[in-house]
Amino acid sequence: MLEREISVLLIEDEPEVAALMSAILKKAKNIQCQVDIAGQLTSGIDLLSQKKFNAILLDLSLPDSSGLETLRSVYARAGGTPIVVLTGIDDEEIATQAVRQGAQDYIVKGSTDINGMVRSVIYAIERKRSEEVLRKAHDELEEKVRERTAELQQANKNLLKEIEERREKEEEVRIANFRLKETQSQLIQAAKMEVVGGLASGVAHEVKNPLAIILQGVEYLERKIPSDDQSIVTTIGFIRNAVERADSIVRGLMDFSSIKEMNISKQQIVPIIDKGLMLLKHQFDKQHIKLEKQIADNLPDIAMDRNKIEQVLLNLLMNAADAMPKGGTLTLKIYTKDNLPDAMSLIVEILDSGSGIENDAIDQIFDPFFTTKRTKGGTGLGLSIVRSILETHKAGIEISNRPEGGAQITITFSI
Amino acid sequence: MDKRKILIVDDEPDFTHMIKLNLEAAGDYEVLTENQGNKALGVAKEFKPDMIFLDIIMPDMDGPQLLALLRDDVVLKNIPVVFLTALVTKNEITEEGATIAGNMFLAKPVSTERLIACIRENLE
Repeated sequence: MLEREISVLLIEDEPEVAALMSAILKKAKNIQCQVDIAGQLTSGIDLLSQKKFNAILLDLSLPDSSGLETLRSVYARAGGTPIVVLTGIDDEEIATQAVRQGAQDYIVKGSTDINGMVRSVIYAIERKRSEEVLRKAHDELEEKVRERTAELQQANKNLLKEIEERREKEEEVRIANFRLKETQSQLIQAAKMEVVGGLASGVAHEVKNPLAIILQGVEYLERKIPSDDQSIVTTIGFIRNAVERADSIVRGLMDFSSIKEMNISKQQIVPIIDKGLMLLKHQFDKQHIKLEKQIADNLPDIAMDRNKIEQVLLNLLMNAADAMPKGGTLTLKIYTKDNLPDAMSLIVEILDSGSGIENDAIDQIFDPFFTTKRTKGGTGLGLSIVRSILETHKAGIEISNRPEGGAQITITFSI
Repeated sequence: MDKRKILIVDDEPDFTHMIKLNLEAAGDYEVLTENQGNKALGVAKEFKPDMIFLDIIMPDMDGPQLLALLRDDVVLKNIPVVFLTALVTKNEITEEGATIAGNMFLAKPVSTERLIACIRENLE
């Protein structure tokens, strides 16, 4: 297990000692020892730079260096070759320090223990080699730990990335789900409209003819029955009103079937609103409703079916007035908004200062036949028709409650 | 002056009956009613009305078909015809002087007052 041949550098200034030690090493059993001798530190260092040794025997007191300084000089240049320090009998203290500072061992000069000396050299070599092996193993272990740490860090990074991707996917799924629900409710809404629209003309024909007979019959009775009986006059008035109400519901229904027939032209929105306001002027005055207009200049034309948009705006203005039976302020805002460099919206806001809309009602407010005015003759068709008409104009409508009270309608036309 | 002659063509006998009663009671009109579209042309030729009220949807012959026949008739072609229809939407009514194929129309249910106004408009 030992190398058969070892090469030793002996740095020793006393020729006798050097010769003796060289002789001892060369005669040692089991090994073939080659010894190079240097009498000074500088020549020793020269040899070290020229040749590879298995061990260095070093006397600390040399002509050109002494003490631990000698060790440090050689150690710095030994490149890991084990150093055994040679020391006098009195210098064991310094020898111990030398071992602490990197020497493998020390040998007391003049000792007669030949075997001990040889053993010391061989052990120094062995120990150094073990140290090397250990260091290498340690380095390999370190490297493995480093590699494994890097792998773990990479795995951790991948995991975080996966979590982030999963989170993004979940968000996408959530948005898709939301859109799906929105589309679903639009489809349901469209289907409702389709059914109502489809029913409309059939119902209209079947209902209006009997209504026509009732109206004519009422008029006949009015003429024939003496009208000095007030209860008869009242009753006939009720029948007349009932016919008118039924007729208005049927007409409302029929508007669904005509929503899709469009007569489009480019129009300014302001004159249409002004027409609606003019028609409602009497009601506004009677209810003490104040009107505030905030209308931007140079509004663009909108492609629209003028009659239908008139119907929409009149309906919404009437709703706003209905919401303020005891007076208030109706605010109209019309302005444009840039969405993208080449896309623009025209916004119409109608704000009232009434009591607002109950939260339960907001979700259903556009449903056909949903009304909060059943007792006041509402058919529940107004806002559903409004929305359908705006949809055919690719315009959106939103209703919300204002924080300061009252309701806000926002219509968005794309330009 | 002779009574103005009004022909009413509608497939609802109750309706035409009531209109006849009301128009004759309210004004100086002679009203004839016909409930079958395909008989109306013959009736018109014989009755020679001053004005015709025409239902649009009827089972055997509808109003526009009958109108085309009337317009093809040398004697009847200039008689004013006003449609009476259940199929009119609120939008169409708000337009002043709304017409169907160039002919005026009234939406059912219609009041006697409105009918008489319409007759006066066309005949005076």
